[in-house]
Amino acid sequence: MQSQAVRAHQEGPRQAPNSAVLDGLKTQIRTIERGRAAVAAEHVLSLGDETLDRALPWNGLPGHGLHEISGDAAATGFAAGLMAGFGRIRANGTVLWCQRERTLYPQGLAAFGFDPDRMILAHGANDTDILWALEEGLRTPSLIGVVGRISKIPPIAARRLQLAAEESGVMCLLLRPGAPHAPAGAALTRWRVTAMLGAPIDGPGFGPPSWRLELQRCRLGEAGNDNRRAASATLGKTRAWPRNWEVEWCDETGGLALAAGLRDRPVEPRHLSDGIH
Amino acid sequence: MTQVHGGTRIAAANPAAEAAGIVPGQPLADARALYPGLAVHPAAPAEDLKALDLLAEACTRFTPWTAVDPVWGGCAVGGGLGAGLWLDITGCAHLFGGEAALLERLTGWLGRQNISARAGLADTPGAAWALARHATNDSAPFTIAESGALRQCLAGLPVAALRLEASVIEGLDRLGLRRIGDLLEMPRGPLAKRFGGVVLKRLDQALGQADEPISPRRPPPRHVARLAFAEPVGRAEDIAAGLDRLLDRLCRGLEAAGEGARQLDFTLYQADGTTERRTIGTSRPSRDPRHLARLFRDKLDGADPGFGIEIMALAAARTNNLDEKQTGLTGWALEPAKDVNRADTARLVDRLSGKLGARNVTRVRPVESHLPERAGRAQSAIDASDTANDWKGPGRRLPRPVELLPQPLPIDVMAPVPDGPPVMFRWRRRQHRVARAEGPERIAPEWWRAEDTPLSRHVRDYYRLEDEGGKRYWVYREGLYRPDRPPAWYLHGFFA
Repeated sequence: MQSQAVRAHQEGPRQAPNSAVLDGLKTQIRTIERGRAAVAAEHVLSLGDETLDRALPWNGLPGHGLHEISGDAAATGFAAGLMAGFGRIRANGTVLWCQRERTLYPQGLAAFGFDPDRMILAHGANDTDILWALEEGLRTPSLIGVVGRISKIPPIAARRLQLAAEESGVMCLLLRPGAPHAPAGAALTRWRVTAMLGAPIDGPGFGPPSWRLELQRCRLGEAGNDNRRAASATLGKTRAWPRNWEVEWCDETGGLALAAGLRDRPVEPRHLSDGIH
Repeated sequence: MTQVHGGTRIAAANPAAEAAGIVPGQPLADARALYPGLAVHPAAPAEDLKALDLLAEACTRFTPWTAVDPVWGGCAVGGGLGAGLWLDITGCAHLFGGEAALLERLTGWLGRQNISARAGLADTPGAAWALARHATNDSAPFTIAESGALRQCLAGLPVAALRLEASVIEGLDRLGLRRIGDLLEMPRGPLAKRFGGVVLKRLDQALGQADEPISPRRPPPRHVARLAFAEPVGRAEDIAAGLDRLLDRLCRGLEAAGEGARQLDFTLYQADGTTERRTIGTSRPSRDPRHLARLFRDKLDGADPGFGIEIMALAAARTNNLDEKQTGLTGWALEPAKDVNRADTARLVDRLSGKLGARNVTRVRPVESHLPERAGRAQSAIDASDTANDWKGPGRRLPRPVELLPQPLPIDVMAPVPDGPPVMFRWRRRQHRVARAEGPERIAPEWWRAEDTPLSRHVRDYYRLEDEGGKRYWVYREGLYRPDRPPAWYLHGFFA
């Protein structure tokens, strides 16, 4: 009896997995994950444009998790804009901004609707200090969010940040200078923001900040997003990831707007996105 | 040795030298004649004071009220007995089992560290000074004057015990007044006439008839908790447990007084005589033991207990009023959500400042200045109150970068017109072709400010540049155009 049972147990894995059971489990996991996404629905920030919001399973950017943004000054501006947006959702609250360099210029951040009065700036001597400060911030529910600029992040540290952020409902933005070799796997979304030549405007000067926004990864994106699937089906794309948009910062709405007028530009070739779409 | 009145004199001598007949105040030449092989070192009064200060700090294990008696060297004071420490042990003696027991521990503890110490205990500083220096010897390192018996105690001591100058002592000696007792029997008038008020003043101070205030090294804190161990402890858990008990006691005291701590000093008195002090600050007054313990936790990470800790003391160095909060049934304070938020944030600031340093955790305040590097001032978040400032006022609508280099970087620039925007610039060994430029915005130096740096003395013409990739830079040309010299260009920031 006993030996038979053991044999049966040993043989189990060799058999082809029961696809019905697996599908059932997958659905269950999906429901759980969707449930979690739904709970945070009131903390979802619209990015300013419907197309962008629909690309995300939460119909906007959720304020309860870890998000990774790579890029240089453009990423800083994007992060400031996001924090300003969450600041509008949560009327009082502070943003903790941690980085090593003393280069952040509050007055420039103010252009993205970000209120420098509501920022606490922490300078760490090394990445360990910054990670520690970020985690401390994430355990303080009264914060709107924490922003950390960090070049290297161990996977476990990223996971810890994500868990802390999920638990307290504080948003965590990780700024990664340049293109990081090892992205934080635990992040809910991963973005890359690069500067882009803005549309020509009438008269002297520049237009609003224009960026190429790339959604490189999005958790739950494969599983739950019917909108996205439909969108990619209509466009007839074989590969939908990463997703690219050309956007402009819109002062009036305090969000992003798709840069529609850019197509008419004669100079700038769309080499990056051409290769992907 | 030290230089006095043009000659080199002995400032202090060790026991061996004293045995050879060398005394402080002696000219060096005389001392050399007495003992040719004498080793001489220049006196370092500043170093001595520093060492005394450290010793005074260590002595706070006996009383929080300690001070350095800075009279240094053998020349200023007769008898060659100079600097010392004041310890006001009012209300502390019973902790050690009486005055004698305290002094025995004090001298024994110093002796174990190879510091030969003499102690005198009396009702007045003057009498204690006299007793310590003239009523002690190696076998009896301390003397206590019974309360009310000051006169008898002092009567037998030499007049030098009154902290008088050498010339005064000589004068008294010539009159045959060698003991304090002799002075006590003299009529006061002639004494005052002959020696000025100084003799009488010292006499009165010693007897408690004149006031002699002594300021402590640091004002003794009003809230102190202290924990002594029978055996030295050294484990981190023991320190943490001791701290918890002290915090508990201190916070109860603070609550009774309606105060909250802004700064706490945690002092570890170690068996080898050294002290280790950890200080934390809070941005709002607090008497929450759990929060305060958390602030200390990071600070105690690197604490080295050495040979073990004998005494721990926790003192609230700075306090503010903190009113009683009504708490709900669950123990949570019934506060409006905004206050809870602010308290939360304040606690975060405390923790961050504790670990990263108060300098590194800042809030930024706008400053009325046109110079970009001056327009914001970082203020330590622990001291900053959250105020609303005008960041979007009329003077602040001009485009500003999101990142500003602390030090502008010199760049090579190609500009077709000498006072026009560049068409190309070189930065980080790469050519950047300028697609669009905006400017100039001229920022003049602020001549009315005294603290000018070399870079802020010239007019700057700022341009925003966009390179072909769309990256936006903030560059400036320094100085006005001069035909004889190519202008200097700097990169100062990055736009998003």
